[in-house]
Amino acid sequence: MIEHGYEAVAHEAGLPELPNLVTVMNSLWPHQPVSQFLHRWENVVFAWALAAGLVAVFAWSTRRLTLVPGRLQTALETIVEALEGLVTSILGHEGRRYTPFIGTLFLYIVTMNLAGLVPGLKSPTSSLNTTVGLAVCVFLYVQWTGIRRQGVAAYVKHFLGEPLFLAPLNVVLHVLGECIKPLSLSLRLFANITGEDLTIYYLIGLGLMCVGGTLLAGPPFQTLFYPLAIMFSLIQALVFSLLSTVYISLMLPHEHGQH
Amino acid sequence: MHLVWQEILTHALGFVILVWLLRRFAWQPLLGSLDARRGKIAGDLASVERAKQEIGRLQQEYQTRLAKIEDEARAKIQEAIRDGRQVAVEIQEQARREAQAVLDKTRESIALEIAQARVELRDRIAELAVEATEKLITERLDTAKDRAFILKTLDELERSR
Repeated sequence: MIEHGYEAVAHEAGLPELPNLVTVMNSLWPHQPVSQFLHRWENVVFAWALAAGLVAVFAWSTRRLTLVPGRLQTALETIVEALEGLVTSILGHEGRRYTPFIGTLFLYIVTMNLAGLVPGLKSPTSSLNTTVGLAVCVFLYVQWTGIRRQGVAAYVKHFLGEPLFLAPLNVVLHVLGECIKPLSLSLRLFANITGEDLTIYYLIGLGLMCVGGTLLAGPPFQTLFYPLAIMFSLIQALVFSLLSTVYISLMLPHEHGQH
Repeated sequence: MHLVWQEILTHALGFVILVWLLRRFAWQPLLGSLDARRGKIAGDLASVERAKQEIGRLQQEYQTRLAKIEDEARAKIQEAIRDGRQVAVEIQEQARREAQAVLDKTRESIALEIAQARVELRDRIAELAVEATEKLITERLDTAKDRAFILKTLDELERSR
């Protein structure tokens, strides 16, 4: 790809990826500590920048909420209401309590997934470190929810399982199960978004190959993939959020907790 | 593919901060706004329902009053008809009484006039009798003359009646 006019950057998994603002800055000023630092923490930089953007949009739009909403308020309320409906459809009336966590998770992941479609930006979720970081948060929140809602005794009993003489085996199985949950969440999201970014990378490369590197840009084949990429981004965020909601529901001390 | 724990923890910390910030700036205000709107809509719907019930009640009351008014109007019309008939009967009765009075008065007047005529007739007969007597006294009469005289007197009497 290098000979066709754009430089592939080494992905953390050894895969090629499109250049972004940070990698460009690093290639321009490779010896500057700032560009080195940003490049070192590239995924965190993009993730935090997107998070700051989310906070800014919500904070700005909720400054003056009115009973008759404007366009932006309507859009945000629609999103919030849909996410609340999604969570409460799984967790019942108790879902309201967990809506901020699950809703934020969904919005954050969607934003990070879609960032890869914007030239100059990068999907932080194409890094396993990002997805594992989120999965760790979900894991801790689920366990905390289990301890808080069931009590320590019931939580431990849940791990011991029945019959009691199989407790050592049950504990191992349950602990493994609880650890595999965030692992599967993080791997699924990471693999899908990495695949999505790779597809875009190769479609851009295909366009450049068509013009034989004679022009600055080739036919934008990647545009054809964008609708599918948007759908994948939404679906992956939804899957991550829904599975997190299900894990929470399994920890609640009512009929949802029977498993 | 390698995991960097510092990066993982930074991402986790960033997400925790994001959850806190969005809870503060997004979820609480927006969910509150939605709740307020839901509450207002529910309140408005309840008000509309109450208003509908009130309208139904007023409509029923109106219908009841209307029916009552119609009954009262019908009763008053019936009463007016009865009064009218009563007045008509009274007017007829009074007319009858007045007609009877006029008739009686007329009869009295006729009777009076008859009596007056009789008096006048008697006076006239008396005058004639006096005149006849005077003629008998002043004139010698024979049988034929008597007869003629008597017949003439009778004719005069007849005419004078």
